[in-house]
Amino acid sequence: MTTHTIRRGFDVRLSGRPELALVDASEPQFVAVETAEFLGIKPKVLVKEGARVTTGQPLFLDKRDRTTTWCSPATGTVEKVELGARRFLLRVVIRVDAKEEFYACPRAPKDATRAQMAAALQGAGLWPLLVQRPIGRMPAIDIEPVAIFVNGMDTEPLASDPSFATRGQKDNLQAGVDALKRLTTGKVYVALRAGGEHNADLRSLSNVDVHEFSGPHPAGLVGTHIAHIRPLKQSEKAIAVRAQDVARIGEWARTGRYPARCVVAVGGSEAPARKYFRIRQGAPIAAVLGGQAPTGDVRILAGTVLNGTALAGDAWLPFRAATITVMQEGAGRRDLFGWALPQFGKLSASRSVFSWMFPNQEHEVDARLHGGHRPIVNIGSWESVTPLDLHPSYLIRAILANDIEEAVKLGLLEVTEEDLALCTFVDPCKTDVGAIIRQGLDMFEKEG
Amino acid sequence: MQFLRNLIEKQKKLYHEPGSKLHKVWPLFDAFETFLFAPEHRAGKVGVHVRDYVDLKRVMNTVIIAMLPCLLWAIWNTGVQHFAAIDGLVKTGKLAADAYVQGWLQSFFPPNVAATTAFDNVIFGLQRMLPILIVSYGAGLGIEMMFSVIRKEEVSEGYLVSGMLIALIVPASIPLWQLAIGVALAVVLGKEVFGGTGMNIFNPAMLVRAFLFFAFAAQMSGDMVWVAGNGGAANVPGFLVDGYSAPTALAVVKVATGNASEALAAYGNGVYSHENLFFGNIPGSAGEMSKLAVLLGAFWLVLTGVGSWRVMAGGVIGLLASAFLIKTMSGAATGPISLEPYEQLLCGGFLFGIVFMATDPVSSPETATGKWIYGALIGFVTILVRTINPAYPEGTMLAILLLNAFAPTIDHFVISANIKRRLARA
Repeated sequence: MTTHTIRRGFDVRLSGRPELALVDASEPQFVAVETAEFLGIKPKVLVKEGARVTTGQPLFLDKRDRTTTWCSPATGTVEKVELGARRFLLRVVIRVDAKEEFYACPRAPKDATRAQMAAALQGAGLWPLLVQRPIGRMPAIDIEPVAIFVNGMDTEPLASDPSFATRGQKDNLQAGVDALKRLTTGKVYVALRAGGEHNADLRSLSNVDVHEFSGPHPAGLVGTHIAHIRPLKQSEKAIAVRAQDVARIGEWARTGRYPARCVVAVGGSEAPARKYFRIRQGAPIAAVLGGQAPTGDVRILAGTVLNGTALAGDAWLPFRAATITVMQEGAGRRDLFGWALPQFGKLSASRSVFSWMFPNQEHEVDARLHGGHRPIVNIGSWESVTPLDLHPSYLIRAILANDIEEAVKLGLLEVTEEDLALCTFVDPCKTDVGAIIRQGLDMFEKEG
Repeated sequence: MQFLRNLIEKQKKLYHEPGSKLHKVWPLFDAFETFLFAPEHRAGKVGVHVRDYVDLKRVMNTVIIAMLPCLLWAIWNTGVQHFAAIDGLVKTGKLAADAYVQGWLQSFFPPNVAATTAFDNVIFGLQRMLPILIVSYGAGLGIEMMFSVIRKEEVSEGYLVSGMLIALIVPASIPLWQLAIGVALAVVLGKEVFGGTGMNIFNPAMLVRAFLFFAFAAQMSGDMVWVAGNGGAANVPGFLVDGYSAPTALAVVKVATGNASEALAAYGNGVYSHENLFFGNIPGSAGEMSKLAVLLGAFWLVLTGVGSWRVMAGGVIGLLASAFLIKTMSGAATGPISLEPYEQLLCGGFLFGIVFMATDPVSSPETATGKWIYGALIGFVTILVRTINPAYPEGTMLAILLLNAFAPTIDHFVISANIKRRLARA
């Protein structure tokens, strides 16, 4: 076991941490599987409105490869197939029956080849749980990963702790690791928080290399892990997967059933109940927010404040959701002379805001930028929160200049938007660094 | 506060909507509004939803706070030096005490020339520094705002620091029209033509000084300009004390025929003693005299993390090491080279330059290694100009401008090393 210490970074300390208590959410009446999370796919619907589906039955597939499927997380009838502009599938909504039946998912033999295991995962609707590095999107179906990185920690603010979410699921975790191991000739690495609690199950897995990470965020991001454990060479690809998803894959490998439930941590200053919920995938988000989504000056996020998507109150739990954060919106709040006062209570990584004198504060935050957009003036704040061996400001400038070749040289393929989310957070000029990174990765994919 | 908010919201209608009556000057209104109230912007729907409280206004304000000790000392010492000069002239009989000509502020608070008080010093200091600040900010901000309106962009805060810097690095005796021309030229040609804040190659404040230095050499160099007065001298417009001249410490060093340290110590009854050099009780450009005030500012900049300690440390080490090496290797016992390295630090504007001007995030390298190299080279070039060059006593300005030009090159080498490391993994 190796321990890596991350020095450059910043822990965003927010109030409203989810308490470490896992409860079963009530069974939802409807569930939905959406396409919005998977940019770039071309969905083809496989079911008709009114049809009966069982848990694990494919609902739609990706026309680009015709093998990656998304499956029903419940047994019931197809209530609605919602299409958007140009008849692009938005979501399939299913009315949940009381009695659950399981679809016969494809399975892989014990000594499956890489192709067999990949095909089984694609057919069983679990492939979308995987993320390919570089780029940070769903892997291509014929990927030959040089390694698999299992993330058993998360340092984003108020994020679900993968170790806690998978506690007591040792068999599933081991089965999941064994299944994923078939995809690669390389190793399976597990990243854990040094001195973290609840990770005994992950720590004792066999056939894996355990690496420990300590230090501030982004110590818990897979981009940081890859850079410290096994940096990818040119044209090498790896698969990143979270411990929760390994457990789900393991459940499928052991039982042959679609793992329809996931664990979602709900936190944030405005969340009605801050707990871990075991809930059916695709349930309405209201189900984890006390039955009724909060309204008014709130922002509901799928994900964390550093890497999240704002949802409407009647939205559905996204496919890969592990964390729900409910924060303040901050509409209409204008601080008088905010820039001139010392500000002992405001969240900041900069010592020009004097809250650093009280380092143990937990902050209630809202979505305001606290400043206007300005041209990039680099006072070294990006570098101070980036532990990777790259120069963010030059990388960003290369992308803005559409010089993708240079951007790749500067390390574009070592990051995704989440790795540089802290740069967006700390920037006094309010540049959306993550969006620029994604723009660069998109350009790379188009050109490459 | 709510009253103020409502008032602004009412006015906003005139400016905000495209097509509204005064929409063309929307950036000006926005600058005024966001000076009072933080802007309304909120994070988008995807990505990072919470932002650091720091913004560019706060960053710039932090730098301005760092310069306050220098400004206060400038106000105080401008008066002290002025009345010391007057006193000297009166005592030698070159000036009658009742022939003292008062300036605009002094006509409200007349000084007692025979026995001046601390109050008189402050009044004279304000009388010189206030117009300089007003002209510097007025001309610079006016141009910035004009360009913001043309570009339809929010007004950037960069000039808030530049304006203050300019006031502190020119002699307090400078004619205001010269200052205005210098500011206008440097801001337009040094900053706006490149695209404004964040895009410039050279530190705008340093460009102002360089322009004035070469265009109006009589008001920016020599022995007469470092003590401000109320009238011009023969053939030299400006706010000078007629008949009085005082060379700066480095000018004394430059012309020293014997050992420079001894010449400095021996000059004029110990005017340039180490204490005076450190605390700033000397003639010079308005803000850079007191090393103590500069160090207070440096401490604040490093504490708040706004100024790069790497540039400052690299610069001081570079200056001391270069001075030591050049002194030891040449073996010279006389002339400017013979000045002790720590005295090189005490004399002139190097400390001010490396703390406030070289650390400008836009015109300095962005990589950590690059900042060390950049700082050290500024120290090196400063010493080169001070010791080898026959003409200029002080080299800080030229060193910083030269290294501004090389900042991208320095970064290029650091970045290339990073790229090579990345390729080595492949």
